Amino acid sequence: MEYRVGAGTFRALNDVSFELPTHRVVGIVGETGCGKSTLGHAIPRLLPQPPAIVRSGKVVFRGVDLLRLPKWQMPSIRGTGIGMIFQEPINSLNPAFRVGDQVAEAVHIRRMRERGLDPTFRRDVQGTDYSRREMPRAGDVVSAPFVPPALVDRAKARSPPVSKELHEEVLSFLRLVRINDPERIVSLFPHELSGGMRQRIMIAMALSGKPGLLIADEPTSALDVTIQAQVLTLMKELMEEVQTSILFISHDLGVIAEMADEVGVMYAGHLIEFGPVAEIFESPRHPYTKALLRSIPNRYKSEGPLPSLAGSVPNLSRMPAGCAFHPRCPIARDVCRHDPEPPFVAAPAGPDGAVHRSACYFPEEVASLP
Amino acid sequence: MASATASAARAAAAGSVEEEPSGSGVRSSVVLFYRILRANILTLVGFVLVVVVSVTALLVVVVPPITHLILGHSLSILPYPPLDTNAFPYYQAPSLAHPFGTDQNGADVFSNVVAALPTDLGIGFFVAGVSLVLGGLLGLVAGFWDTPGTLSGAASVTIMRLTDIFLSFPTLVLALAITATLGRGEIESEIAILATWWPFYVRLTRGEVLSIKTQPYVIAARAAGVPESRILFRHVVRNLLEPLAVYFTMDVGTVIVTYSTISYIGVGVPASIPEWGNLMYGYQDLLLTAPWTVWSVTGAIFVTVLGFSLLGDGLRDILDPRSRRIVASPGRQSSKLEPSS
Amino acid sequence: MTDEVPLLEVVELQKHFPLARTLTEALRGHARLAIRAVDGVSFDVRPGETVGLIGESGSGKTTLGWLVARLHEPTSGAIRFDGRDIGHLQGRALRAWRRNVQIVFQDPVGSLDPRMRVWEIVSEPIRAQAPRTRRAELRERVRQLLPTVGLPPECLDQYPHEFSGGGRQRLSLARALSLQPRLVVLDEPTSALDVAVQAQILNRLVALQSEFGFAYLLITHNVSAVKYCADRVAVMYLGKLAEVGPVHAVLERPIHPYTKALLAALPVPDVRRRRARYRISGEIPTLIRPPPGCRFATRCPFVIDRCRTEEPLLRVVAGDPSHRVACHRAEEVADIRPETLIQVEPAADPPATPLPAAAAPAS
Ligand SMILES: Nc1ncnc2c1ncn2[C@@H]1O[C@H](COP(=O)(O)OP(=O)(O)OP(=O)(O)O)[C@@H](O)[C@H]1O
Ligand SMILES: Nc1ncnc2c1ncn2[C@@H]1O[C@H](COP(=O)(O)OP(=O)(O)OP(=O)(O)O)[C@@H](O)[C@H]1O
Ligand code: SF4
Ligand SMILES: [Mg+2]
Ligand SMILES: [Mg+2]
Repeated sequence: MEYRVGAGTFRALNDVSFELPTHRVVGIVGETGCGKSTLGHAIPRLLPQPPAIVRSGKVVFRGVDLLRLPKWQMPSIRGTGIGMIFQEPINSLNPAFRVGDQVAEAVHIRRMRERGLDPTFRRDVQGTDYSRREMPRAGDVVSAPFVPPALVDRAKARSPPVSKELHEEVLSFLRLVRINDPERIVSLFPHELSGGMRQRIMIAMALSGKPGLLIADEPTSALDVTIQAQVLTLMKELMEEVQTSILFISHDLGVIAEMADEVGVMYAGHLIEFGPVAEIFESPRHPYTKALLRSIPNRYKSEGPLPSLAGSVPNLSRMPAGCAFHPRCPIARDVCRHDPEPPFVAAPAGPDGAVHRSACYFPEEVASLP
Repeated sequence: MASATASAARAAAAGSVEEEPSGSGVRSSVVLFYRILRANILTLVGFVLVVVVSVTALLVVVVPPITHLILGHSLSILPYPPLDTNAFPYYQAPSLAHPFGTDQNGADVFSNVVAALPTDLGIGFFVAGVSLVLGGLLGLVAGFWDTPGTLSGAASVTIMRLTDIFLSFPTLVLALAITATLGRGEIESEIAILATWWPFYVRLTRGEVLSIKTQPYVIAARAAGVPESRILFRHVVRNLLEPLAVYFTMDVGTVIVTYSTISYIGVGVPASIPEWGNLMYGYQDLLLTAPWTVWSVTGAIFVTVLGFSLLGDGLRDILDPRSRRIVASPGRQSSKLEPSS
Repeated sequence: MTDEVPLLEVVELQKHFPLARTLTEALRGHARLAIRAVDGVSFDVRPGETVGLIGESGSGKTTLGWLVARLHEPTSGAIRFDGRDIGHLQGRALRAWRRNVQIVFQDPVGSLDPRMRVWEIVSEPIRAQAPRTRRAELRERVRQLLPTVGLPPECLDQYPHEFSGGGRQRLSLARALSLQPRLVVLDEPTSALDVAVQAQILNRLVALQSEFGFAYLLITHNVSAVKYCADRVAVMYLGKLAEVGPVHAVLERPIHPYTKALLAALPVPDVRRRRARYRISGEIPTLIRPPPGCRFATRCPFVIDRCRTEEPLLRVVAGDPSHRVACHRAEEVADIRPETLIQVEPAADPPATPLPAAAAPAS
């Protein structure tokens, strides 16, 4: 996967491969710009092309390689097959529509698909494009101040905008994400909700498609810690109720430690370590993971300076030869400084047989690092 | 410990230090300019077109008096005198002698078209330039001192309402109405266009000022104790220059088109002055019989307007230090490309 | 801490942002509503110390920082600097005073003028105070300043966009320190940065403080940054202070229920203590019509009827005069650990203890 921009080519993803078992949560961590979002967007083919170019690789979802699928079939995968929750709740909801209608649309699409009908998705239309939907009629807006509300209500009652059943299902999804008083909330606009509520609406929308895989790209990073904790708790509870697999992307190691079953660590476009969450946090096999864990500040001033990782992430258009991490690595040797890159190999199987892979020549030495 | 972090930081910043073309020497900026032009072929085309057109216009104007001074009689770079009736056979198709052919009066179309260049270009620069200065100043005042309840706030409101009034008329209609009142003539028609033109600059400038004014770096300057007047020049005006320069460059072309329209309708410069709108008016019946006349004028307008548009577009990159870097050192990642998430 | 004169003293400070009324509202005589961003806050900062200000987003932390740096006009209340009221300074006097307090802004990208070179940006405060300083001298001073924040002196002529996030934050820091201010307001200095860079910046902040003796007002929602940098902590919730005290006391034995909720909410990178549940729920009320009683009452697990009607005042609890809390039930809930607000995975762990306060409503 590359981005091509006037000045150069950014190799945003390199040989990233991992499996996402059903009903598991795989967490992806890494610093800003290491390609987490690119990965998350590449799976349902949501990357803007150009500048993005997928050079090679496979995304096998339910046995089908999505990258080989014709473009017009992708919308039928998105939503009901692969759901997405984006980082910025305010930008992902359409400000012009009531939240109830937005959830209703997602539910509606799923139902049509279940019946083999696919109303909104034509061959050429990608994704849920709210801008193509009908706008409120001018007459409604103009008459609103003059016509007694009772009359309007009666007129509306005669031609319900959404079927009662659909409405009920929307409410049930809002209740699922623990929104109090969903009858009132459905008629509000996104800007009238708090950030935490918006994020929960997003989750409701994503879940209402009953996706097999949910890609959550930093779903709580824009929220306060207390609200984040509320939303994470909710996601955990939902994982019990709605069985889906989740790809959970975050730069916060704490959140990943809490949510994930398996963790992938990314550095400069490479997946450098992948394994069960307990192993990654307790016995990392890559010096970068170790350094990342160590640099989380957690001490008082009197206890001395914070351990920090010197140097900075390499530019994706000018990657160093060999291991991408070698300029900052405390255990780098000559072999690390020359191509090829270290192979992504599994450690000898652990006690429970879970695979723990890392891209480092000297994974055993990591344990002895401070 | 301090040294450890210092070296870490140095390493962190090192990526952006090497091969820094430090200093702002004339030579380095020329090199930079050249690189930017080379990197973007459309900008280069625009630049070449604008240079060719402007130099030609200049030569048309300055060569006769200079040669008169030196040689005693004036020479012109025009092959034949413009608007010269009965000089040649009528309706001659383009040939080597007459690259754009001749028209219904037997004048050389090429000479006519080139002779019109200084007038049209001059009007373009004049109208856009005066609008830029006038509208820019008013917009700056209206945007920067817009606190309600103060004298300057009242002035700001007045300026904006006045602008709105002018903007509420269709440009062309207002310009026609004014020329019709003032009478026909070069100055009169320029005033007419000008009257409809400056409000766009007020609005543009004010919008930009309002957005720059709330930028964190302006607040930061205020927090540093920088006086308002200096903030105005150091931050606001400096950040205004780029959008204004881009808009101005593109606008020269728009003025030329509008002005030609006015004189095509017959209320612009007198028919005795070569001007593209005038020529077009004269040639309008020849589209089928002698199409080269019409196409020559259209082509001239097209090329000029295109040149200014392309250059204006490219100017955005040339003036923005962020994109300068991309071109100046290929392969460097620009922060502009990073998603801000 | 000795009983020195505080460097900065803020007394009952308020900042309200009035909302526009519609014409019909005005005609009907509705009172003009306002966002009560900072609603009666008192605290002080002593010379050379760091006060951390933490709290929910939108609780008025930035507004408070801007008030202290005199970028907002206070609605009411006093701001004293060195014992002198500076809340109403204007014009030249204000500009001259600004050398004492500098601010590092929340947004390290936006607060650097994209068209200025490094030396111009960093020397801007110097030039503001001494307009006639020569260019060569300014450059020289910036050249000496850059290494103190960990930037190479050669980058004088670069533009801000050529720096990484951490580099830009260092630039803002250099600009703020260029006048050797007495107090630096740091608004989220690390929130835009990755953990590795964050540690570099925090180390530098602490090192600079011990070298030059600045006082910091560190505004952040990052508790670990406050833990490392601060001597004292103020916790803000919806425009009011919930708790103020020495960093150790507040973080190790938080008394106010919001502080407990905040600490319990921190995601810990420890797989042995994976949270299964967080026991705070409810929505944050708006700042336009804050609830009449305690502002945390809508989410507080220990709420009683009194909390909804009577506003708790900031008062000394548990004998330590430097530790003050605004909660009616401070004494009763003081010993409840934040961990009781979460439930840890796996369920095999000690079964969830019922929340003591919910079970025993007092008074
Ligand atoms: N549209 C684009 N054009 C060019 N480069 C891009 C584009 N989008 C992303 N990139 C580059 O790809 C790299 C990976 O970006 P990505 O957004 O995947 O990172 P990330 O890990 O999600 O970071 P963050 O934590 O900031 O969200 C970055 O270096 C970025 O500069
Ligand atoms: N200039 C302004 N005009 C109107 N309202 C404002 C203004 N500045 C801030 N507010 C409001 O005041 C409240 C407090 O904002 P402030 O930025 O101080 O919060 P904060 O604690 O810094 O939040 P964050 O952690 O998100 O930075 C918010 O509700 C905000 O909408
Ligand atoms: S006063 Fe009441 S509602 Fe407020 S924090 Fe204390 S116990 Fe909770
Ligand atoms: Mg991302
Ligand atoms: Mg803030």
